[in-house]
Amino acid sequence: MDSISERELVQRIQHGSQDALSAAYEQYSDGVFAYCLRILADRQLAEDVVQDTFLKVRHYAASLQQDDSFRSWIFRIARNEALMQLRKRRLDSQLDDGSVWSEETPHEQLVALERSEIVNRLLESLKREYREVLVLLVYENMSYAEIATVTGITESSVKSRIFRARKAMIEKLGSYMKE
Amino acid sequence: MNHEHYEQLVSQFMDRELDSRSENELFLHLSTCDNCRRLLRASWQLQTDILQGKPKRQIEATRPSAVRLPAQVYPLWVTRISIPLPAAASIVFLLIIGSLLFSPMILQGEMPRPETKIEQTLPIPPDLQKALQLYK
Repeated sequence: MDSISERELVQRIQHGSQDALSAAYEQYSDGVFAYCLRILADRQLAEDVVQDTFLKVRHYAASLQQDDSFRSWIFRIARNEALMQLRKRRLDSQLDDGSVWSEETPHEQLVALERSEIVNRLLESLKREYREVLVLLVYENMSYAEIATVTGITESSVKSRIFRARKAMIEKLGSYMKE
Repeated sequence: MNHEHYEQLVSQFMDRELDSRSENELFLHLSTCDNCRRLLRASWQLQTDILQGKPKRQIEATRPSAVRLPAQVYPLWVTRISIPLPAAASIVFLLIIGSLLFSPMILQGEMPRPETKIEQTLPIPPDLQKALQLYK
């Protein structure tokens, strides 16, 4: 199943092949999980979203057009599911005050941590719309165009968000590493 | 050209989104700018750090290779009564066939009667023989 192309995989799923769906699950579910976990910050919820996502993949596979990227399509479904969970729990902030940060972790708490842990905390502290583009870029190696497809924003917005998020993280990280 | 322009080029270079012309422009700038070289190094380091923090699924070891997808949803009559239904149908079928086969024989008096056996096994008293004659 490893050698078949994405298009062939999609065609098989569209014809109801359970093996093809399993192959897609094996290939993409870990990435979907990592992305959803970064949106939801809840492992169990992220696992639930992965399951729901692949149920929808099976259910709506027929609606996938030939030109669509299968991976982007899966991640778009996962994103919608994850955001629905956020809305249910009213955890998604819509406030745009020009900052990339959703919360400020107390300085003293971060100084004592290892670098990798500080990076993790900073990533979690980013606003969701900045965090998710960075996650798709780094974890999934996606292009601006793919990220734009998944998130439903323009490529220039993707570029701008990544630039701002990265710069903000580097500045923050630099201030902790000096101490 | 302001400095943020080059910072953006560094970011796009990191993301493999820079065309060759802009790449040349960036490299030319990097040869003279310590700040942008530092930014490029810091960007690489950040990328590595973020990737190292990629969450792993805890269920990986226990997950069956055959996918944890929920099973295909079948109608209730398939999942709950798929075995009893054919069995019940077979019994009903046999009952119907049996009743069709045997009911005409009973109605027409073709069923073996007790007197046959009685005649074969026991001596029948004469008065009982008379009574049995009435039923023939």
